Amino acid sequence: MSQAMIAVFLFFSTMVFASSQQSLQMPYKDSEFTCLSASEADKYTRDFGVDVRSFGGKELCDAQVDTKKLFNDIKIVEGGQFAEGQNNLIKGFVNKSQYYDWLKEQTRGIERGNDIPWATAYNSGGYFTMQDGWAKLSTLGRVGTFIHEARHTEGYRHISCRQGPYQGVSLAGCDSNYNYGGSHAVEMEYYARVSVQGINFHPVYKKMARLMAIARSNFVFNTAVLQPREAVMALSENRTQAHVYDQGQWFIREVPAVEGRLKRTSFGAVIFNGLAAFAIELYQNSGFPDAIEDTYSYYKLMGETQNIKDFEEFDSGVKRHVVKIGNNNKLAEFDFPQGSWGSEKSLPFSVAKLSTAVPGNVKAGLFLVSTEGKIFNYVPESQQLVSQPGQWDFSNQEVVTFKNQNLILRNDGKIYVQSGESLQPWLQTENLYSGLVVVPVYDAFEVVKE
Amino acid sequence: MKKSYWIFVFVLVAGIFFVEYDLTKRTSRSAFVKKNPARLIHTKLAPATSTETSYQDPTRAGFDFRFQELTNEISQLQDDPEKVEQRMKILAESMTDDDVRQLSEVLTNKKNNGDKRAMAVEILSRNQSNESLKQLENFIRKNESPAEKWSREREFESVLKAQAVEGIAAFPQKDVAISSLTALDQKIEESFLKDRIKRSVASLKNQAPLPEKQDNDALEKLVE
Repeated sequence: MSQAMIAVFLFFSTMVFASSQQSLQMPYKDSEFTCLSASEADKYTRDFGVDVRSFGGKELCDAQVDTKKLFNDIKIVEGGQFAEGQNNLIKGFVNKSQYYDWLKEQTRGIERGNDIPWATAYNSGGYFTMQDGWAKLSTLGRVGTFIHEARHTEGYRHISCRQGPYQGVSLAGCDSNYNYGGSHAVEMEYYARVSVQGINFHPVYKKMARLMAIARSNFVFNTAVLQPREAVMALSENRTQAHVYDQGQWFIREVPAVEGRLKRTSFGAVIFNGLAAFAIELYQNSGFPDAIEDTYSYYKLMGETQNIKDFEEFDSGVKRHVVKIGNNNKLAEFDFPQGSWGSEKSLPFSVAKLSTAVPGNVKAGLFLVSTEGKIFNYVPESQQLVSQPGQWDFSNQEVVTFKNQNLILRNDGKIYVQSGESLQPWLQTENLYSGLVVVPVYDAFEVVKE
Repeated sequence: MKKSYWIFVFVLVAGIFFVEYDLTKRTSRSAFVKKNPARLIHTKLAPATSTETSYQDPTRAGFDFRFQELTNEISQLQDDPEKVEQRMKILAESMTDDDVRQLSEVLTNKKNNGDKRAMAVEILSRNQSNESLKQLENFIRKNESPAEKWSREREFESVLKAQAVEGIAAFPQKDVAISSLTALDQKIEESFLKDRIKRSVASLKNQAPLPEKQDNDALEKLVE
């Protein structure tokens, strides 16, 4: 009996030893971790009409083979879980618990090809052809492409791009807006869900989903879905305060006690005197009246350049541009990759001022106003000046675009909003101002679903 | 009595064999890696495979091998994402400067698979050494050729760079991160990346929430 007891003791000791060895380990990976079962592969092949041969043959383990990439993607769609949102009545474009069924419904067949090399994939009547570009993408990119193509089966088509990196491309590649619910919106909805509600996705997959959604919101919609938030800043008539209008409220900010013009910068605003720029702290008041030279915005690009008549930064397409006009009436643009100013170009007229907006036109850009009041739009891509209709009214001190409206600071010190041909006082503000700009605020996005 | 004795002996022997078998199965992977360095060279930054590995001792398997294993996981659903975070942390913290430079090559080579490059940014970001900071800066600063047309691949470059911006912003010394991002802002021309940099700098200066939070707050409005 005692021998039996010893045997039982030794047995359990061995088990405990084995168990303790295991608890010291990080979770180990099973040999079959990345492999699919044959039944799973067969199911996916059947459900989506996968032309396995065109993808390189049936492959259950090696993710180098395109078949396995596709199977991985389908498995992520099938098993991806999303937490419940706060409002369960809103189902979105695709029900988040039914991605697999929805994809299956929209897919009549999938094959691998490279007949249209410039495309990532295309959908012809529910038959998808994944191109070489698809195979090179990340897992997230491939899943996003799959979902994107599936939406086309339901009849959603793209239109020409009016903004962003695909503007001017001969092929239609954009959707009008998010609410249209086209392929771009459905793809973005998936990325947003993975980022915000995803439960069992890889952390890098989730991070990429978040960044892809943010990036594409500005690339593929004619009305950008997530826009930088902006506030209005007006310099008081006695130049001692900046009044900031943000989210329906006014705030007062300190202004450095220096002469100069209120200018917008990529980090907020400055007082610019032609030689130096002094920062206005947008987010708080310091309590110190000392003028602090701006070190964050592009005004430091001026470096040792002296006697600048005007200086402006603006976006065109997906690029940021910085332009200066010297007192010698020459224009130069900063070359970011080179880290230096490009060559100066003489202007055929004397420049009175630069403006990022003109009355009656809410599209942002850079406009040069001649001393005679003629207006020219600077096109950075071609480095050309395009004459604009009408004359600049010099009783307009500043013109800016805010929330798709032109705000105009007139020489009477009042701010007006342009409504058709007429001007109405803006927000019934009684204050008088000597400067007006729109400044970027980097603490949230404007979400534009329309 | 004698019969029960032999039953217990049998149970004991069977139990020992079972436990031994189980242990051998679990440890054979790392033993294989340890005993066959030549195989490691062969798998140096190899494309995605289903090769097994063990994570119990980061020094027992080559860096490349473990990096590849982590990369493979991106295309898999995760029951416990926390453990994935832990594995990425362990790998990032075990890197030498040579590993960092090697990973930087993986990141910048556009012929590499997208998951591999994304994991390279992630591990470089988590390494948080001066060398990794330098490599992330170099990657962000590398402007795309004007001749390269926009495509999903081009969009992916922007996303990778945005990921690298967040990696720099997470650097433990805030002043170093702000200085690095401010300098980068003056070397790149893409509006999207400039916006990411500005948000990170505003957050580092306690003027705004983390960009990750800003993003998710905005995305939540789309899916709620």
